[in-house]
Amino acid sequence: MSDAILGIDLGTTNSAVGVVDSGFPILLANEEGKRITPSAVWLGANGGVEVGQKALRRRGLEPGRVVTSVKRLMGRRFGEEVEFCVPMERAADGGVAVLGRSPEAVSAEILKELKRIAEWRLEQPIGKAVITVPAYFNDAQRAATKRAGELAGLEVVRILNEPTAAALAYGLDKLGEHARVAVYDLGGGTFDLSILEMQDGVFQVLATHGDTRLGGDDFDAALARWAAAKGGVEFDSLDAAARVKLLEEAERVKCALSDADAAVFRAPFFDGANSLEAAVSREDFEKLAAPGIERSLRHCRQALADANVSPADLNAVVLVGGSTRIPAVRKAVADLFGREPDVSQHPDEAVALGATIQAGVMSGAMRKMVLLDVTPLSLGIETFGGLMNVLIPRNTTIPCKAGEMFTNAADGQRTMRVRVLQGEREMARDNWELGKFDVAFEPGPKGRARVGVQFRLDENGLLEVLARDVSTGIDTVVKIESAAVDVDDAAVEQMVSESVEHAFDDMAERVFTEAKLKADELLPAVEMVLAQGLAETDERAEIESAVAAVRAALAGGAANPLKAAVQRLDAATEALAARLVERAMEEALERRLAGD
Amino acid sequence: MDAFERLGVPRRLEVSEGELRAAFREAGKRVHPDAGGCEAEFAKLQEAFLTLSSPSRRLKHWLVLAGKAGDDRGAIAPGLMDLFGKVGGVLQQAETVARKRDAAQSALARALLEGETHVCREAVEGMIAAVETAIAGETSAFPAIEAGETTDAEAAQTVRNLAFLEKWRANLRERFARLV
Repeated sequence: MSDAILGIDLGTTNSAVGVVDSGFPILLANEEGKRITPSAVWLGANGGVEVGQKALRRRGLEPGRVVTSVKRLMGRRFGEEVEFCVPMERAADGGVAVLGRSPEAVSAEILKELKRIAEWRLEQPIGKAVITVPAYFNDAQRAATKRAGELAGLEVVRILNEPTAAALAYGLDKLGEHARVAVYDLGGGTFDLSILEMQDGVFQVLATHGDTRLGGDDFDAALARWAAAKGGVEFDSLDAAARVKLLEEAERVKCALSDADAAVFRAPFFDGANSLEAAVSREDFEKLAAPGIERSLRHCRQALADANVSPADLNAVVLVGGSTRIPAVRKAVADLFGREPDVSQHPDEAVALGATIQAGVMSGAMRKMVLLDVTPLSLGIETFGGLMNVLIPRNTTIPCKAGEMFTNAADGQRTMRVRVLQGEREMARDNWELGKFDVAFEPGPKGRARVGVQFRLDENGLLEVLARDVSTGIDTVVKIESAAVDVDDAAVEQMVSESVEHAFDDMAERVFTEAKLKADELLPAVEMVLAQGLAETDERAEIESAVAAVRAALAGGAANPLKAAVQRLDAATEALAARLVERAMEEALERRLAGD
Repeated sequence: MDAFERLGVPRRLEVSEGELRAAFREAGKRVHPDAGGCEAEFAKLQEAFLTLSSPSRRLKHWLVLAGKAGDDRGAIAPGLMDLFGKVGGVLQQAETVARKRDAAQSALARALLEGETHVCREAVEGMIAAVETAIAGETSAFPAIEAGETTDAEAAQTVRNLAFLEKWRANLRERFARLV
């Protein structure tokens, strides 16, 4: 086996693989000459598997057996995601399964295909890889990605953050310069913003922020729903095959609108009988994309605040990820950072190229470059009163560790349960629970038995916990139980069977409750702004009609109609909300001018 | 451990953040696990960097190295109590607004909070500036401390004041990030 290491971008929508060849990082094309492989997996009823374009081609015939965007499920627990392209099941460990497989097993099929392409091109077996993940991935999502690699027969020598990889690709030919850059990475399903400082071959991440549920998929869904509503079709009531057709068409129209000012959404016989056709202007699409783009900007502001730098301190804002082709995204980034973004990197290839560079550095095929990356999320434990006690704050350079001393609180207490959390919220329950473990005490009077626990984040951002017996000084690795496995097997069995029986009811109830919460917030707010005469005449009619629809749906008690009605009211008040935000900004500016 | 030595900077109290960052990067090239270093060495480098980045911890470390460590437990200088009260008020106000904003689910509800958020953000920014002025005031004593013109008790008081001020600044920055 050769000592080459692959660089792999395992994306939500697309994946790619590369290797360093004669000192240069290159991406490897498949038999059809394509360097990009769609992250789609067909799992046939007969056990057959196909990946990429071949899997997508089967979607028309067997939509229920083609898994796309599986990255959205990585490291998630059952019930966290409410919508997916195929039905989700509860796995025995509390995780999610689709078509009887775990998300990492499905991802492993994509990785196997990339490994196959690489071995075919390089004419040798390969056993190691650097795999990228969104910077904002938590420990569970990173661990799941690593497992996917192992399932594909690859030793994962590094889990690398996508924006950091993109920065490597960007900085490769600028190693002598001292620069501070932001990488804005908006892909198919995830968003990251990292701020880095680079000099003399050292890439130091100062801060990172992001959202693992924000990307091009969301724009497709918004556009598909919009087109369906325009044609008088209720999107949520369509079957999976029809939804897939509308989403595919939405994606095509979205891409077309990056170059053209107008396009036509055409879905002939999308459900076998009916057809949809609607003219879409770029402006229409930009309105639909605006909330997602604004969310991304909030993360940018937070990263800037965390790094304690202002946009003027940056030398460049580098765009990567397919969704940065959208003109509205580029404009929003330009406005926020006060400069034209740098589009020198290939949106779909920069991350894979960066992974390849890191793989080359680790295999010795390229000159040394050092990445000083950070952990995106604060790590802590639950303390008295259900609060989160932060041990390692977010944006700490990794690898790093933090220690905590535990003392017995009662005479003879033998164990103490510790819950490990990741997140930024004050209350423990609002954060992601990584898992729990028991600290074992020697029997002794209250306050005398002491165990030091060390929390260590490695170069991959993965957690390891070590307990040190204070008297012997011996460290032992503590096994962390996944948070989901808190019940015995029988209870799991029962939960599984109940969840299958009630899955539909539960889901509908949850959708209704969530939509009702939003309606309860929106209705009084709308009433207030209408009473103040803030709505323009033409939007007022639509807002009032949308309010009536929400009231009717609340009375009706059905989940999907309420969700749709609330979404309509949300959309109807969007322009008004944007005006309110603008007004607040103008007032702030006036205050500033008056103060100067 | 001598943090100055580990980071490769002269043992001075006055050192810029840029200088420290550059030194950290330079040393990181040698001791990061990927560069052939080991994790324990890298952890020590990180600790040195964190120590020196904070003026209060830098001063305390310097005093320890100089054999002048005083008791730095105790209260802040009475002159800072007034600022403390103001910081507390602004932090609380910011917390209230941030919570309301976190809870808002619709664009409209968020937009309605926008005016309040701006006002609050300005208050936090103003308070950060005030705290930074106070930090600059404290660090202006560094040359005198370095020259041995202060008593150990005075230096310990400076450590304490800086520690409180830095903590407030961190809290204010945290709150600011939630309001952007």
